[in-house]
Amino acid sequence: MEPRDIFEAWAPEGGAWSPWVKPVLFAHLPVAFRGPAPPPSEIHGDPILVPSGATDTAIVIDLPGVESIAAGLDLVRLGFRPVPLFNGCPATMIQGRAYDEVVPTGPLIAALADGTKRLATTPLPLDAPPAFLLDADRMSSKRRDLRPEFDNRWVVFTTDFPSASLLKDRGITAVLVVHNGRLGDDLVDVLRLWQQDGITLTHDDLARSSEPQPLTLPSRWWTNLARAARRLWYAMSLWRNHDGGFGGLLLEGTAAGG
Amino acid sequence: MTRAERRHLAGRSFGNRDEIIPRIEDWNTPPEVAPPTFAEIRRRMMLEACKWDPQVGDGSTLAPFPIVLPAEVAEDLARLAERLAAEALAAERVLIESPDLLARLGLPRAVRRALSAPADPTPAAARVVRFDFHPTPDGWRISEANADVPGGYCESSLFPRLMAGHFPGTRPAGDPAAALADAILVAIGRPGTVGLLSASGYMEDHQVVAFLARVLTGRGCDAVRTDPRQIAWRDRRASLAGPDGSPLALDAIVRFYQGEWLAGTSTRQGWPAFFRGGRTPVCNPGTAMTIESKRFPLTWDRLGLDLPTWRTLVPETIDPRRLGRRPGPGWVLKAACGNTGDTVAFSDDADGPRWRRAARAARLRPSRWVAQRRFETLAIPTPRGPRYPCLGVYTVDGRAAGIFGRLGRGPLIDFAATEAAVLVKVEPGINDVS
Repeated sequence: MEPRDIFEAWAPEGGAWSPWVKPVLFAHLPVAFRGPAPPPSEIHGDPILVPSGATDTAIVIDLPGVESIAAGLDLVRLGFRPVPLFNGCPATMIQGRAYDEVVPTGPLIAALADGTKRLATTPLPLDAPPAFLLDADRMSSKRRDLRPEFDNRWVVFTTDFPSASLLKDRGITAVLVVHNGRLGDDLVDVLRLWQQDGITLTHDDLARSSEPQPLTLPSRWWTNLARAARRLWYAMSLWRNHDGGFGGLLLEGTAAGG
Repeated sequence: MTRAERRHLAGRSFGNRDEIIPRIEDWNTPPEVAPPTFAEIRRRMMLEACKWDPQVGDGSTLAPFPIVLPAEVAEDLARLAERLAAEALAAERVLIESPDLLARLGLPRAVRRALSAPADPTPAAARVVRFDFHPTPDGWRISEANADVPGGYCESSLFPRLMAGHFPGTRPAGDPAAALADAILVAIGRPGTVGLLSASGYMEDHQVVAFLARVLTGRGCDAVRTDPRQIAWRDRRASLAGPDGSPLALDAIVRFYQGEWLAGTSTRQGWPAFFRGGRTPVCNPGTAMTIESKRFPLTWDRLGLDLPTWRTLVPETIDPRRLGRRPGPGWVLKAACGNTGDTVAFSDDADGPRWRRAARAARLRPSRWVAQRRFETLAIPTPRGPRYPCLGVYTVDGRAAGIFGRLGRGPLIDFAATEAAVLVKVEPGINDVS
């Protein structure tokens, strides 16, 4: 299957949410990657509790790596259109060898390619409600060895999503956030804006194994304080380049990440 | 620069004033291409040309219709851009040898030190400059040069090529990415290893180097995308760690990382070699910051050069201290090293928070700011209503190489502007070479 066909399966022409699909991973198909890539069909977890036919609800899935894709594909049976928003760039290759990546993209690319079959066998209407897929590990950094790593961490911005007014124009008045543990601050910024503009927020924290609950976002002052603390933490403990820089190839394995 | 060269440049006059007339009444913005056709173009841009931000919020960043210029207008723009580039590069050679003039540019102190170091300027792998032309009732105007790290390559290379196929009688205005890659190959003499630098985490920057990497790879180069802080300068040569950790020597560097950001890093790895003392050629070398500075016009009278094209196209530019506290409408305040338009403020809204913030900053550090007369940009009709065009003309090693088209809903061109393919009308038998 050609990259174009795989992209078309996830972002069909005329699809209501196709413009928001992030193309960067699809632009790297086919790609060689190291390590096993668990196909989404083999990932099991608790089913996401969404009422079937809830056409006024969009979903944001913020789970680690391929789990997010698996959950998104699982929602296809309930009539949701998975919209991949993965925005980390695969590592550069030199003389046939790729750098290791801080956020592994190979499994994601493989899972997207694999998921094409599932999408093809379950036709969805072009205006099916969206399930936006994020990688909860987008800012994590699990150092594996001392080889240089390509820093492809990323964050989401409000401009990566449709606005609240556009969602409402298309009949979406509620958003369910599926996550496992603490929500990223970047996503909180997006959700806060939606909430301010009248979107009802609920969340399903898989770490708590409970029913979806109304989502209470941290207050703005707390978010700002947390952001400042995070910057301080980065400065003190993030893996450093020789000169203390954040980003780029990571050359030293002297500190722990999180 | 020799005295004879200075005399030559100083003696040039602007010449044909008709060249600066934009003649927007002769431009054409034809109807949009059919949605399925444009969807295919958009998809090819994303998958083949690394256009990874085709959607920002609720809006598409690519316009489904082109701007079609008469051939004469495109030729005028090319000539003007080539003259601007020649004058600017001549000025740069004077500036980097004049510490007192460097001090007037509002550059960070660390950059000034790097530019004043007792070493030869680092060679250029290629020199690429983009001049953003705005049509006004008084003719073309530019506010400055994008001489440090101009972007927009995929939107001005593959995009016009794809759009031209649907508009018979037109051709792309150029291909700056191909021109740049070819120039780099000429500089290094063979397909070598090229490091392409951008800041990690900034996808809008990363897509620029990813596209250039693809173009270079297509010409047989090994193109490595990385962060400038990974570059180590040893014996004046640049290298970085390869995938297995062993050093990888670079034959050239393409820098899409602003010069003032370099100055924010430690000197231990030798970043000043991006400016002076390096032997690995860089595109653009850090010396480009001298002509990128918004305060560049404040040095003109002391350069010993005439700069007729710059003087014709750039509006009156003064030190902000000459504005006074209540300058009246018609002025723009901007930071000397601003890049994204977020520091630009207009005196027409002198009571607004944006102007007050900029004016306060300019009072505190006037040498880092500049004031410029505002110009009135003309709008053109488009299938989506009136839009304000900005045509960014690239020069690569002094030769015009293509046009980056943007359309703003308002006169200020910023991140929200739509990118439009710029095509040139083919006059049968005259310019139907592409």
